[in-house]
Amino acid sequence: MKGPKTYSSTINPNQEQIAIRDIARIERLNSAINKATNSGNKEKLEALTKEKQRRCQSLKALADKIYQIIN
Amino acid sequence: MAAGDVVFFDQWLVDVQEGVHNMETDVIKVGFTDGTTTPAATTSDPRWGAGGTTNFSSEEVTPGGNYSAGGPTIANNSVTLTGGAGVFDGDDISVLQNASNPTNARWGIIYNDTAAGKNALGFVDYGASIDMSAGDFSIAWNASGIESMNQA
Repeated sequence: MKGPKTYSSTINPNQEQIAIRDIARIERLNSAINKATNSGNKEKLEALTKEKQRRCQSLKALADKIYQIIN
Repeated sequence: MAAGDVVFFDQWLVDVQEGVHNMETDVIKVGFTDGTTTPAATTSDPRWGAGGTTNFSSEEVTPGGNYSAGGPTIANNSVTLTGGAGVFDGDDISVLQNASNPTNARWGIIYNDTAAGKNALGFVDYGASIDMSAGDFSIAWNASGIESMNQA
């Protein structure tokens, strides 16, 4: 076994770095949500879903801002 | 090392195989230290409290404002199988600006608050001493997660 492999985090990220992180985190949250669903852990499922919603809203706000700039 | 780098302690390799950590269900926190001790992968039996060899809690920044004693929790921590790797990830860390916040945060010690021994997992390099009374502070974990393990 190889590990642990660690990754550099970002201190005080800018908007672009937050968006990149949001997208990746949402993908991983989907896996965690599936796991919580299968295990019947409702409390965890609710918390993970809320975090996914928060990340999606953050991305939507950024997309809206970009749309306004373009148009 | 560079600002933002995350390193796990060698001791974690032992602790995780002895069942000290359940990185999905345990409460994992990031305690901020003042830099008295520079953590390294080789730091001997690192803890956030007594019982080991290195007690980072004795170097904690002075709690105040939006920084509570013990540091913020990595909420929604999860371990998922992603592309053949077991990936540990969680919510990002944020401490909003407050005049009473600590002014000298240098390292973030990732530790297990559920474990009786408050065993530390790893640390984050802040790059320099951070004055959180002057502005917000946040850590966005890497898009790939905080840590992962896969087959050699």
